[in-house]
Parts: sequence; C-alpha cells; structure tokens
Amino acid sequence: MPKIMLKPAQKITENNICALETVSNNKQNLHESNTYKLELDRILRKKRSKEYMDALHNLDAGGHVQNQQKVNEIIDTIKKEFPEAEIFKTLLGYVSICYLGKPYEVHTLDMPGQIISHFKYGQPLPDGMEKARGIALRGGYAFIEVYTDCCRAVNTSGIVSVIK
Amino acid sequence: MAEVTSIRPADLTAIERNLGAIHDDLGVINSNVGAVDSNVKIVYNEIGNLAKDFHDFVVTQKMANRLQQAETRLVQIRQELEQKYGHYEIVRRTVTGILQADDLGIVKKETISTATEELMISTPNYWLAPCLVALAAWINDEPELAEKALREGIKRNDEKTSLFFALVCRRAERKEACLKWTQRYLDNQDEEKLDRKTIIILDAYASGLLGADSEGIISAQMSKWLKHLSEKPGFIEQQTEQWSDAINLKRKKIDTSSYTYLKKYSKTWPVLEDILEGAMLHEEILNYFTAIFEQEVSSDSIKAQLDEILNSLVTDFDDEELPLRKKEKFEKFVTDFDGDEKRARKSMAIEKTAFEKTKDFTQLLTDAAMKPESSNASISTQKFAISLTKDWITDAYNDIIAKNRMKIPYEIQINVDTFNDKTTDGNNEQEIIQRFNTLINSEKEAALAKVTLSAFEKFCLYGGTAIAAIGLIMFISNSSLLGLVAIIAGLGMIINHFSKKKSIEKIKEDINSQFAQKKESGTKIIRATIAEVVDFRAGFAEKDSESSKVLDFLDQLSPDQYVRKLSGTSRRINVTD
Repeated sequence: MPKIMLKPAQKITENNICALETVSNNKQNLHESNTYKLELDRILRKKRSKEYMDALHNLDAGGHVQNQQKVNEIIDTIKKEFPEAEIFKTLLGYVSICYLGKPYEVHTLDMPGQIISHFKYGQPLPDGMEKARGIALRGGYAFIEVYTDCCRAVNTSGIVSVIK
Repeated sequence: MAEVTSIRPADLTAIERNLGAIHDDLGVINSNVGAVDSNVKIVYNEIGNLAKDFHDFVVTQKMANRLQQAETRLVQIRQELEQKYGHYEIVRRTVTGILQADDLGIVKKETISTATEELMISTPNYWLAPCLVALAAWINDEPELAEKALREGIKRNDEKTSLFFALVCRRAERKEACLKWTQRYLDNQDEEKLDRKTIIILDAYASGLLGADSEGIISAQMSKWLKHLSEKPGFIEQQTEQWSDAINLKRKKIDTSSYTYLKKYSKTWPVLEDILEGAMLHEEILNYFTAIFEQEVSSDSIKAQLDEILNSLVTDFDDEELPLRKKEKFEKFVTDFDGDEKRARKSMAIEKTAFEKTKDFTQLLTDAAMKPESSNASISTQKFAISLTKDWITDAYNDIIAKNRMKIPYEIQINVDTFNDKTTDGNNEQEIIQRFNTLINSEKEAALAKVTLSAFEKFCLYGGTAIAAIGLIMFISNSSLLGLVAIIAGLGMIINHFSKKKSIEKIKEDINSQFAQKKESGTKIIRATIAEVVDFRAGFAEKDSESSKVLDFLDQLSPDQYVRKLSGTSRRINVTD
C-alpha cells in the first residue's frame, strides 16, 4: 500500500469559515476597542468642571462615611461629568489627602463598593489604590483618580495629568 | 623413540643488514616526502596568489568594463535628456537671467517679452514656461497676459508655480502677494509629509520674511493642518509622548554632593536621585524657554536659504525628467568611483534619504522647538513652534511633573550596617535611634554570649587543683618524682584557666567598647541621614515648585506674537514675565 506522502489539500469547511470569521471579528473588535480606548483617553484628559471638583472636594467634609445619600450624589456628579464615557469599567476610585487630622492620612472613594473610607498612617489602601498614596500625600493635587491602567492626577484648577 | 638433534643457530646477519638498509631507505623516502610536502605547500601558496591575482584582475576588468559602459551610457542619457528636455534648460537659464536683469534693471522690457513668448511655444508642457511669461508680463505691466499665463502655470504645476511666485514676490518685497502664494503653496502640501523646502518656508514665515500675516491666512492654513492631524485617533497621546520625550532630553545629571549620607546610607537613594533630577528639569526648561524668547532674531541666513530654494526651483529638474536624471546621476557615480557599482549604489541611497526625508507638521514643530541643532530651526521658528503647540507642551509637561511626583517615596529607608529602618520626613528620629540602640544592645549581648570559657578551660581550675593536691600527697608519700610531675601539671592547668579567663575578659571589654563606638557613630550617621531626609524633602519641594513657573510661562504665550513683523508698520509684542 503506498504511503501518503503529502497531506491532501485542506478543504474549506464550514468550521474553517467560522474560524476565519471569528479571527476577522476579533480583529475588528480589537480595532474598535483600541479606538474606544483612545477616545476615552481623550475625554478623560479634559479639564474637570467646577461641579465635579466641588463634589470630590466634599469627600473630606466628614460625615459621608455614614451618609450613603451624599455618596450617591457624588457618584451622580461623576456620571454627569463623563456622560459619553463608561468610566466605571476602569475607574477604581479616588484618593486624596485627608484633613481630618492625625492619625488619618488619606481617604478614598471606592467606586465598586461606593464607599468613602479614611486611612491611618501605615494602613494599606485596598483594591490597587495604594499606588496613588504617595502622590496624593505629597503631589499637591486635589485628588488622584485611580484607573486599572493608570492614574490621573487632578489639580485644584481641574487640570489633568496622566501617569501611566 | 625419536632421536633428539640440536638445531644450529641460523645466520641472520644478512637479514639484519637488509633490514637496516630498508630502514635507511625509508628515512630517505620520508625526507623526500617532507620535501614534496613543502613543495606542495609552495605550489598551493602560488596557486592561492595566482587565484587572488586572477580574482583581482577579474574585478578590475569588470570595473573597467563597467566604467567604459557608464561613460557610454552617460553620453547616451545626456543626449536623450538634451533631445527631450534641452529646451527646458533654456527656460531655466532665461528665468535666472530675467530675475537678475530685473534686479539690475539693465534689459529692455521688449527684449524680455520676446524672449519669453518664444520659449512658451517651444516648451508645451513645462510649468516654468508660463511662469516665465507671467513674470515678463508682470515686469512689463501687462496684467491680463500675466493672469492668463499664471492660470496655465497653476494648471501645469500648482505647487511649484505657487512657490515660485511666493519667492519672487518676496524678492520684490510684495509681501501681501507673497503670503497669498505661500498659503497656496502650503495648501498643496501633505501635512504628514513636509519636506525640507516647506520647513524653510515656515521658518521664513515665522521670521516675518514673508510679511505680516494680518489676515491670518498662513495661520489658518496651519490650523487646518493641525485640525486634520488632531482628528487622527491617538493623536493627543502621540503628541504628549513626543513632547515628553523631547522635554526629557533636557534632563541632566545633578550635583548630589550635599546628600553624602543619603547616598551612602539609604537604599532609597537611586529613587531620590532620579526624582531630584526630574525636579531640576523645571529650572532647566524654564531657562531654555526664557533664553529662546529673549534672544534677538537675525533673518539673514533665512533670506539666503529662500534665494537658494528659488534658485533650485528654477534650475532643478522637473518631475518628468527625474527618471532619466536619476539614471544620469547613478552612471555619474559609477564613473566617479572608477566603475565600482557597489559604492555608486550606496551614494545614491544616501542622496535619496537626504532629499526624501519628510516629517509631519507636529514633529516639525517639536524638532524646531526642542532640537534646534539638528533641525536647523531659527530662533523665530523656535518661538513660533513653542507658542503654537503650547497646549500639547503643557499637557506633556503636566504629565512629566505628575510622573516624577508619583515616584516620590512615601518612606525613605535608612540602612546603617545591619540596621534597617525608614522615615517619612524625619519626625520619628527618636524612635529610630531607640530602635537602633536596642538592636546594638541585642547584637552586643549576642556577641558577648559567644565569648565564654570552654568546658576544658572551666575544668582546668578544679581538675588542676585536684591533680596538684594528689601530686602533693604523692610527693609526701615517697613517690616524689611522680608527685612533682602531678603538681606541675595541676598548677599548669590552673594557670591556663586564669589566663583564658583574663583574655576573655579582655575580649568582652573590646566588644563593649566596639559596640559603644558603633552605637555612637551609628547614632551620628542616623541623625545626619535623617537631617538629609528633611533637607531633601524641602529641597525637592522647592525644585518641584519651579514647575509652576514653566506652566505659567507657557500659559502666557500666543503664536501670533512671535511671527516677527518686518514691515515696520506693525509692532512686535513680547511676552511679559
């Protein structure tokens, strides 16, 4: 019996077509997601509004820890600031210097949990927000927006600096 | 039974002699083989040399043939060029002649008209011919003819016609017309691929050599380019990155002599050095920008470059001539390098990259602002580029500041020998020193605990006493010799015990003094390091705050202020500090 020297030419089956379509769709999705990411970066580079700055400045006013209604108001302001972008998928939270006095050092607004917490000296920040502690304390910014892929430092005038 | 007979020993001398002869012969053969071998080597070398000579000969012959071929081809190409485009050359010479004649005012207007009209007929497709007619008509004050000719010139090559008249108008001090032609020329450019000519034109514009852009036609063109470029996805990120890279190139190594302790006793030092270097950049950049904006502008070199462009525009070859001109250039290189095609190809490639180097408008602005040495940008262009792109520079600068601040260590380590601790701003000095003292004490205790008498040394006291006592009893009871030995041995053991004990006490004393010294010097080092931490935090904050000066400086800039006005009617506005 003769040996098969070469593999027979592959026929394009329905499976192959499906696979090709999947690859093509993946590429398209990748392109779309890249474009979306660039568009999101552009939106998030914009100067923050006064309402937004005031809302986040109020984090430190105290009492919000227990007042969920106030927290919800702040989150509504954040949503209004970026109506065209779904920032909650990547926004982990906010970190800023805490003026409650010793032993408190920084406070955070945790986006997934939607809670405000105050942290003492040496107490680690949860959910990837620890990386913003140093700059929040010593950077002179109003607050730091912490995202999954970067941090955005916002100064008191609402000007944004991106740290990747 | 068989009879035993004795065998007579054989006479082997003949065989031995013959073997000796064979051995001698082999020796001779061996030496002959050696000689043959060396001869073969010589032959090999000779053949090698011959092959090399032959190869060289072939190469030389090939190059000679190629040289001959190149010379023949050059003649053929030049003939073809002469046949096809020879009349272009006349146009070029005439334009140069007319421009010079007009400068000097020594040729009659009729002569100019006659010369140009004939050329128009003889060069049906060449863009420069109608431009020549238009130029002559302009000189002769015939607007209708000038307009007709211009229309034809624009039809044939809009870009070149526009540039030609922009430059001619500049020479003639017709600045308004010059600006309009320049805008037309720029409108023909691809903002993503600007060549050297465009860069010089923009340089001239920024220096005010093309007149005061009071209607803002050139700046509108640039805004159009920027708008197109900005629409590309990722443009802002690309710009920020481009500017960040360019600004970071200005970072310099800093003098760290005032932080000797931190350098030596803190593992955090590399980070501290890095962020301090980053903070020092602000002063560096502020000085760089200030120096640019305070510098006076000279436009002489740009004027010369503009004339050079006009000259090359008029004298250079047209697009349709290019394939033949390239061939001509290549064959010329081949003849220049004596038929060496490899070198000719290399030279062609170098020439090509030098002329075909293009950059997009924003890269051009970045290079002009931050790399004036390599981009040959004038001070005016630097001012203009910085002002025009100040928003991107500000974004990039804000990011640079934030990135540097992000690296500020929350706590700074103090590492003195085996002691490792940290401080945020030096407020916990007492606690650190206390922890250091505790560590030194425990280390001292551990060291002292190791210095004790061994079991034998301890035994020596009691064992020695017992042996000496037994020896004494033996000495008294008739075994005097053995008793004496025992007494000596016992006494020796006792002496050994006390001498060891003494030396241990000495060692303990040394340990105590060593650790006391360590504590003292360590405390000094820690205090000095903490003092430097405080100085560093303050020093860094001071240097870092310089960043606001850079941002304020950028904020006050406006591009229009830096398009130098040479007309004398417009005033020049300087940025206020």
